Amino acid sequence: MSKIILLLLLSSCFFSLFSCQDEFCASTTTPHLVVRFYNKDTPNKIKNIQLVVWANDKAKLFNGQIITTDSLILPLDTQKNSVTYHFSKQNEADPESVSVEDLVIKYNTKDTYISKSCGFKSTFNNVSITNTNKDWLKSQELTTTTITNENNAHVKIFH
Amino acid sequence: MLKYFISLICLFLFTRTSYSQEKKKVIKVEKESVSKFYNPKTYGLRLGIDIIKPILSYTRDNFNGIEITADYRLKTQLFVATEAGNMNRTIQENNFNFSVNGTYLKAGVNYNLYTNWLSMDNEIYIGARYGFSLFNSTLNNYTVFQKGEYFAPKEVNTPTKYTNLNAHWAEFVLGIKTEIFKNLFLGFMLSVNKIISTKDANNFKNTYVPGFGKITKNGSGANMNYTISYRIPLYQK
Repeated sequence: MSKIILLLLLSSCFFSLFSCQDEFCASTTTPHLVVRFYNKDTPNKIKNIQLVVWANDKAKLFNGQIITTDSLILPLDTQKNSVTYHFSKQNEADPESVSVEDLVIKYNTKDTYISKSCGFKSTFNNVSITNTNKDWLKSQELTTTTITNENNAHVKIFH
Repeated sequence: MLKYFISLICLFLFTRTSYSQEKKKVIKVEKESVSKFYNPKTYGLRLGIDIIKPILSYTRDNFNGIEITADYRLKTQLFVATEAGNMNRTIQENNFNFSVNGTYLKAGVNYNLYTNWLSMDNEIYIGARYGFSLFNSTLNNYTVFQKGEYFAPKEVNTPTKYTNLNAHWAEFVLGIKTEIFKNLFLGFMLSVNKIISTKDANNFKNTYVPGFGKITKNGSGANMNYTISYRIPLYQK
């Protein structure tokens, strides 16, 4: 009998230790804005671009380096309802010729509970995007007005 | 579960009503069976209080709670047992802070595995409980979880209150009770529990339930109490 009791006691101790372990946040959290660049002449073809990117009043992303890419993943400001990104098109052959486009992204945030370890995430709805300069950037297109994940591009930019 | 409950209550009532008849018999039996093996047990209502929770309430700012316990001997080794309590606790998680306050009730049976010598009345028991809690929770503040630090995450400090939450659970218990003076007992009990169902708020999940403790990912939890209890002796058999 005492062996059974000891076994039960040990198993319950083990159980309580096991259930106290830390849980890590492994869920998808606040999504970023996914931008893809397309050719303005053949709108279904992806086209690379050389850019320096930063948000208004913020430090340049990617340490201010020129990036050559066909897609960008940009954070959105969960404290505000809009963010302005500056897209400065670079030309490595001619460093003087830069052209900055200002993209204003407006949205409402909604906070959703995920789990104990993650807490809350923000998702974005009523998303709109506007551009004022229109130099190299011919047009932009939103593929969705709600941003809940990063599976697909939310914004297509034609240049 | 209800059926189980009703039969428990019936059992309890039955023993209460038969008590007055038994009393006369007992005296007779006692006279007839005064042998050296005769080992009568005291029957009575045992009331106790958990002494951990008041200590924690005193030493911690984020905890306030009380628990009372009661049990009643049905047979030499079998007891009906219950715990009831009230709790108010604030918990800081990685990205949010919340408070829970509410009451709980647990009811079930204990079975004593320990064979007492002579007039000793100690217990090493196992048992089961059904637990129920009614509570409210308040989300005090939270910080939105995001990857990257280009923008500081949003912090929300406006409390949100969620009312009329509840939880049901089952418990497996293991404990000891020692009679330190006549009818005065010290007890220690460990319990492992599992949520049966819980009513969550709209945009917030219950991760702590009064009487249950923290709920882990798989819906289990663990608890303990340390009680001092007094048995109101009714009769011996």
